[in-house]
Amino acid sequence: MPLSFVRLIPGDTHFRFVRLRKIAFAASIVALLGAVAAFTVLGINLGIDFKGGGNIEIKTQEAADIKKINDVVRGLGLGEVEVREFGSPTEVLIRFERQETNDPEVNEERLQQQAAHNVHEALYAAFSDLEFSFDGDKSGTVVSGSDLDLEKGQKALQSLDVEGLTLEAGVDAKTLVLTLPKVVVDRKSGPELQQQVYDQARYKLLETYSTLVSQRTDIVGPKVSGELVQSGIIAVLGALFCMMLYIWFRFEWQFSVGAVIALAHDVTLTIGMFALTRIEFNLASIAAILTIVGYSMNDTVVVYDRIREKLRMFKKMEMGDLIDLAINKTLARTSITSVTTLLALVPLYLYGGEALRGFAITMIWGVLVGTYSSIFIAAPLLMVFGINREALDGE
Amino acid sequence: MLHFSRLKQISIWFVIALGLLFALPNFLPEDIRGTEDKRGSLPSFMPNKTVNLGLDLQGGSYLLLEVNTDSVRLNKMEATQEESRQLLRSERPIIPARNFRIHDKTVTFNLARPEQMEMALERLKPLNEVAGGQLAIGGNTDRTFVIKSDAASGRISLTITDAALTRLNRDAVVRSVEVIRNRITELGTKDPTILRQGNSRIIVEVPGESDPVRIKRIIEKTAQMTFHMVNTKVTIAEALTGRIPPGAKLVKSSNPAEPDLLVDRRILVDGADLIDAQQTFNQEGQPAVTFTFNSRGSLQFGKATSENIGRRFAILLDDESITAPVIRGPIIGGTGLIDGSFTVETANDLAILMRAGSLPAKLETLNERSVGASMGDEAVKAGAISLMIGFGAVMIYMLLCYGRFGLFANAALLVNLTLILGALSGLQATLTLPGIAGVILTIGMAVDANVLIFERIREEIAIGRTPMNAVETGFAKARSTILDANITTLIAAVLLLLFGSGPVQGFGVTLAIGIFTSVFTAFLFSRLLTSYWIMRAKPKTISL
Repeated sequence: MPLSFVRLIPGDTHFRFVRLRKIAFAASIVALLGAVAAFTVLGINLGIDFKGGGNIEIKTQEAADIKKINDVVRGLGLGEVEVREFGSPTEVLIRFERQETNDPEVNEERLQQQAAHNVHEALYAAFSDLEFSFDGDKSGTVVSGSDLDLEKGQKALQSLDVEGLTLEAGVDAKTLVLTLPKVVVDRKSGPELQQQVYDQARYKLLETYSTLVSQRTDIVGPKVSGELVQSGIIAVLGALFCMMLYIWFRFEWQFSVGAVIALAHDVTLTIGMFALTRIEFNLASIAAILTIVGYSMNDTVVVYDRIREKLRMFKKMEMGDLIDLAINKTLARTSITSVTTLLALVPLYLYGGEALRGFAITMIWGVLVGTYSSIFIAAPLLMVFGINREALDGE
Repeated sequence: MLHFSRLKQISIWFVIALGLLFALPNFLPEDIRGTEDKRGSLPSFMPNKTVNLGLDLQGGSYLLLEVNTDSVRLNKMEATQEESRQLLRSERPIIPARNFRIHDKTVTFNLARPEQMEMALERLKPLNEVAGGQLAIGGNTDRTFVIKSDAASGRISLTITDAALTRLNRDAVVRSVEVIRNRITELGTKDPTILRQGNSRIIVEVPGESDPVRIKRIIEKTAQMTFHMVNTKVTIAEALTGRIPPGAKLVKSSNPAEPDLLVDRRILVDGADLIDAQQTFNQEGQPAVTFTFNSRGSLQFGKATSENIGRRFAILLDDESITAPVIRGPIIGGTGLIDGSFTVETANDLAILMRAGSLPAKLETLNERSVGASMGDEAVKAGAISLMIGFGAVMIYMLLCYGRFGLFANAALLVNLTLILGALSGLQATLTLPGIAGVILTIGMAVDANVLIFERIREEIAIGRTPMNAVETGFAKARSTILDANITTLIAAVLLLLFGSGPVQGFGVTLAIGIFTSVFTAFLFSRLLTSYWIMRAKPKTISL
């Protein structure tokens, strides 16, 4: 069965990678400096996971009027606010930064939740045409420009679990009458202020009759965001350290230092990419970076493994030729694996939805950088450190 | 390397069959698979669990709450201050003390007459015993307080130990979890998860409930327990006909078998003033419940009981009477005993209710995430589409690259996916959105092991080995590389599991599972397939 297989790389290549090392090192150093500069000057677009604050994703019925939403949200005085289309014209992401206060009496955790509540309420109000009036005690009315579905509103109020709170039809189909119980006694908590109950009922009704749906809300308080930064850093550094130990244990120190330098190179360039592209850096980004570390290490180990094997096989071969031989021998594998990984990642980028897009881009970038660094950085670095061939033989 | 003993072959097929068995329920309709409460028509030896979707995929709310440990400590210190004051007055001669102060973890006061020090210390002893006993959740009998005294000035200081404080906090968290669970269950949502995390945190996950406002409302309430006098101006029968005296109300009993009760509207004592309740035994050895009030509660309760000996009072929880015992004598000192027709179990239940009725401390929401159900559906669909396209692309590519061997690799990939699905279902690990990304990534990386092997075989053929020999050497030489490469990736996955939170942990889970299944499928399964082919076809040459 003669079959001609697709080969990206011919089986027998003789590229002189080591000879290119000076150019590669120089290019990498320039890129690294660029990444560091970008990081220092631009900073990275930290998501709420690490900074605190809130993300609110909404869906509108027709193409969203970003300007209107922007105006409504900015009117709330929440400081820096970002409003942008998210995935499709009917979906919008609203991001507000951590709400801060100097007043020690005010609970900062609660402040974030209040902010999210205000955003929701303001948007629901902007995307419905309800007019409310309340006598401050027992009754209020809701008037709309169009007919209101009474049952829908009643159902929504039921979920508040307040006994005696009722919604009934008003003078016409566009009007509803809200009645509060004489004394509002929550089944669980005892008396509550009339105004509080009214506010809750108003919020529920706005939500129910609004043309806008809240899809996803993430609120991260200051305490948790601080911890997430910490555990993210620990995870990445811990991974680098454990891998270094493992490689040291399996190979020689030169290999382990070379591998970790290559990994640090990949991580730095990835952070540089975050700085330049302004992709939001969130929890998933930490996962992406750790996976890049794993992937790049994988590539490096394959090349190193082959170098070690050739070192044992050809005792007299010059180091540079030997490294070239090892890289060339593994080149087909390196490229095929990169292609299969990219083949899996590109659909994720294209069809995986907005939430995974940032993750997919990061990984695609990481696969490219990781493949480059295994060939042009990790392996040639062994030339720089020099290898004690006898020590390797001893194992 | 190509020879497999019968046992080995059977084991490999067994693992695959097991994976298939565990993955199967995901493809069955619910009436066959059954639900949580009711098994479907599947035979009982078969697993029936489907993949556990994370909140980001099925919609719902996630809350991370923290018990305010400051308020727990402050409550305890206030209670201690009151308790010591009362202990000093509990017998004659009364030991007067003043200058009660609470500072951080310490209560200090001065005896009016320093010469009473010895007697005072003797009387304060129960503080350690009682408190230690009450907190003995883990059977702990450590001291609660370090008591220091200065005989010259008559100054006594009670400092709560760190161990006792930790115990208190943990107790508060455990109780909060209990209360929150009770309340959320009442919401009628399906399988809420309420978990304790660390010493002071609680995770609440409510699938399908995308309105955290409602959940928070319920969680943040402190349940209402009140003590009332039973009204005897009219009989129950009369009251039931509508003749309710002014200032009284009819309440239902929490036990449907008991008749309704007529009680005074006036609240004698509020349950918020309860500090503790425990199941115990009365003097006749009958099961009973002791409870402890704080200073305000004990004052009010003492007054009410001394004025109403022989009458009944009722304890209402959420306006339902739990019990209505007869007052045998004045209950002063803030500690009372409820006895009646209890069994140990019902007494314990009441104690739990009294304790757990209200939240023991304030709760703060640190992190809140909610996802609408439609959103979750879209995410699952998007994930499934990208998975299928990626999967297809990789399979086609492998086929183009390696022909027959590509077919083996693809079979291994299919088995791999099945095993991942089976492992996720069997372990009931949670599949999150990043978790799906993890699976997709695994697909891309899983073939790596096969690529390593096949490239190795190519090399061995190139140097002129016979087919059999080349395949054999290829597998052997690739082995250590595959292990090294996967162990390093596993390190990354484990760190994600340890330090990641929520969705990211889900990514770590799928990545880790994927590594194990990839090594298994590449190293055992595709080798087995290769071996079957070589044994049967005995090829003279291998096209690779």
